Amino acid sequence: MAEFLKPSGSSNNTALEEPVVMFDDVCRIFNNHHALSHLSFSVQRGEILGIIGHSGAGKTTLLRCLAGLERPNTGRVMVEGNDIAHLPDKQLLPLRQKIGLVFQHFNLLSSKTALQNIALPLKISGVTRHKRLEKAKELIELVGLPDKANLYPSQLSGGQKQRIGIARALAANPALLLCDEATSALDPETTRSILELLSDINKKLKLTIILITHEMSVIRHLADRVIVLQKGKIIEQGAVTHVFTHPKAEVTKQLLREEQPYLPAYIVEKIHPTPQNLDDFVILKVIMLGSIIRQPLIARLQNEYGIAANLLEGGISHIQETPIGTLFLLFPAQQSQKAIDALTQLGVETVESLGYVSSSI
Amino acid sequence: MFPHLFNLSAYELNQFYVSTIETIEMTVACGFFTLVIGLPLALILVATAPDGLKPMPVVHRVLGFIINIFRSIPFIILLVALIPFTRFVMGTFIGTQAAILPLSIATIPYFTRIAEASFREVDQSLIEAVRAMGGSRIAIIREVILPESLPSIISGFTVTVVLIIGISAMAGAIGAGGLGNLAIVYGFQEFRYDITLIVVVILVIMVSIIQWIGDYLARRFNHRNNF
Repeated sequence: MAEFLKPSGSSNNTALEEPVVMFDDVCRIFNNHHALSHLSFSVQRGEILGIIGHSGAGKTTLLRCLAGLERPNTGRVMVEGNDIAHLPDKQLLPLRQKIGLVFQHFNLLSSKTALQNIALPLKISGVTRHKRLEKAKELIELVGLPDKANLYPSQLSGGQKQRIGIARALAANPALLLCDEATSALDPETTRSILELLSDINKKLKLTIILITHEMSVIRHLADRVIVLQKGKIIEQGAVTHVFTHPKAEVTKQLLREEQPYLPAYIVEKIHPTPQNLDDFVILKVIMLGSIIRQPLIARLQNEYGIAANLLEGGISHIQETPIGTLFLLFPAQQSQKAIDALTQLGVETVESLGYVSSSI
Repeated sequence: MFPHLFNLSAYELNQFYVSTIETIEMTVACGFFTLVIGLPLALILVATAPDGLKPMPVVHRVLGFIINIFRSIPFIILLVALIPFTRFVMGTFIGTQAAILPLSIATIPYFTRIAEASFREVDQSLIEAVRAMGGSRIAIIREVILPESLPSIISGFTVTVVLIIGISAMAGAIGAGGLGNLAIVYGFQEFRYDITLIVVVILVIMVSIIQWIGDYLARRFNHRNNF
């Protein structure tokens, strides 16, 4: 990695540094409608923050305030110590270069080649032709498309266009990479490769990244921390592993639902809150986090506690490198409390009884 | 029925040559002025629009109003109405050079509207992207608006040049030179249908060549699709 690719002032000592981005009590109001309502958060250097919410939650307004394209009505938006909400236009222009934007629809200029597109932010800031092309070549190699340098965007696939978009966003050595639904227009395969590229860039360049998305899977793959927005307010926030395993807000649960295994509706319909017959079964929802997933859980229940468990539904996903397992287990109703105690002793994250079903299920 | 058909004297043949050159002269000169004046006017119109780079409602409305006035007058009436003005500026209103002024005044507003539409077509999100890079208004015009609209501007200018040839022939009626004058003075007033026919053929050839060049250049600069 060439030295000049590194963002200015990067270091591993994140704890003592001032945050790269800080929103301080930001409000943005359109016709009496609070698009952003008293929003405060900060992002540390090198961190990957995910901001998620349904459409209309205020994600786009937040992004535009952060990119300096829009001014909040009240509050401060600090980027590397500069309040971009209150700077005059002239001083705002160079500061916008501190933030590299990656767009959902790429927004590459059709009249410029891939290389010229990457070099454009440097051209705008007055870097000489020779230097900016040198840097652009460096970046096109970083995103893995050196052989596409002289092609026009119309000759590239969606994933390739987004790689060029990412390289362009990196050109001016930004303090922050802001990804606006960067993978929403791509197929799952391409999405994965783009997310890997972003993860690589974060590690190699120690670059701070903010992901704005409505897809939990993007957050799960990449983000360290997540903020859930609803109606312009932060409704939930925290480490991704924590929020994913202990979602509190209904919106969060709803957004997570499509991500994690759930009981099919025909089973949910048959659940009773109390046992109806002696031979009924109890359904326990078990969430496991981390290394416990590598253990033979069902076999240990049988061998160490003498409880026969039956797997109804379940799956394992990964929050970056942390596995998270969700299991729906079936036990004889009389063993309900014994099973809960045993599972807790074995070290699962949470156990929750969903109710009882008849043995004929 | 056509007593003089293709019975041309050497003088008449020479007239075709001279008139064609005159038409080309008028078209090139008028095309040049239309481009260098019309493009900036179109940029001003787009930039001062309410959603433009630098909204200036008064400038936008006044300029738009003036253009609409000229656009709503039929060309032949505009050419006649401009005779006193032409005489005042150029000293005469007869001849090829004098015709360039009223022709340009007629075609500049036309091309301004065409170019304005081309500029407006440029994807707003591209402008936003360059704005987010810290691009100034000048940078946005230079790097986004002009290059992205270039193929469309070339097509629009081709249409305008063809129009200039058409109205330069009309200008023949009020004393400008060129092929229009030849067709009116010899073809119409002396009933020489053969001369009119040849003028038509020459015009068709000129227009075809211009359209072909325009299409070629528009394709050459269009990178939006693979042709």
